[in-house]
Amino acid sequence: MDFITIFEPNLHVVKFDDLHEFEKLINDWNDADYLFKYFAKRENDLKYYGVSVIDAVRITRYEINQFRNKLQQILKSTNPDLDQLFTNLDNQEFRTNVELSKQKSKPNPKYWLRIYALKIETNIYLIVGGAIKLKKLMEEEEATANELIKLNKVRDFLRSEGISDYDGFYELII
Amino acid sequence: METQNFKNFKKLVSNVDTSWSNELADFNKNSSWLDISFEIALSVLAKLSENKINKKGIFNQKLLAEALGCSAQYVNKLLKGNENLTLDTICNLQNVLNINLIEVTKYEAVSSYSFEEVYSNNILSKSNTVALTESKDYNTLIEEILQSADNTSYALAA
Repeated sequence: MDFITIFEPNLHVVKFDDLHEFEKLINDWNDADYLFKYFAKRENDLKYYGVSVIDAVRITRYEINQFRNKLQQILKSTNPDLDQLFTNLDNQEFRTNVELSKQKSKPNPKYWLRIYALKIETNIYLIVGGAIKLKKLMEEEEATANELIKLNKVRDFLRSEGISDYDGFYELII
Repeated sequence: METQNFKNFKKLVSNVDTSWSNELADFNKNSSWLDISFEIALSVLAKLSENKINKKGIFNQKLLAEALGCSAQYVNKLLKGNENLTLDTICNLQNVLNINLIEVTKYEAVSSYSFEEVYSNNILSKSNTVALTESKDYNTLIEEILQSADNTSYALAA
């Protein structure tokens, strides 16, 4: 496990193998073939959204373009406020013992791309991964469940090195 | 002032990579053709998928590479939607898959020549795929999709 700085001094990312997690996300989310196959496998989930596979890819492309605009705003600033960008992951998103009625009554954001991170200090974040989140709870689908495993793994590693993080996981909703 | 915690964290950081800011700049510079390339890749993927379901024609990347007379690696690259495709490649794709991928809008010039006589109906026939023209940019297209989708259910799971 390695750590790379992608925006000094505030933003860092985990590297598990050849590419760091941010590179992987950018590559996958820019890849029409990857996205088409991702949504084709989850055609049943898309019925909730009332969109076809091809339109799901287009919506994702649209979100990524918005994400680029956000990143550009960050780049322009000499002292970016990442605390505005990342929000504390709601417990209900990764704990399964929540009553179904409560899950459904909770207002939801409109977008499905997620970047997951740990908060090291005020305005200092470590990106651990990301996913296209189609279901309410992270543990409900493989893609987001894997992200939870990664978050826990990286947190445990940091703690073993004597580094603490803020309570809870963080996410960037694009 | 840096905390001891952050200092400890920084000791684990091995490298700095700001290449993503270059990628951002490149994307902005090339976004017009990148959006078209992406939409072409998407149409090809949808056609391959449709052919697979209907069990007819070219239904996978290997067959497409053979029909185009190029390598499977190139087709794989093309289907990512980040290639600056030549008109030759686009026309070959249209021919082998029997789909329309781009539409050229007829320029309405004041002229004594009859352009209808010059261009065949085939070239100007309306595309049955989504056409990206200057009058309908990518954002407009997506907004139309979002409006037509069931917004209530779309919000449910995100």
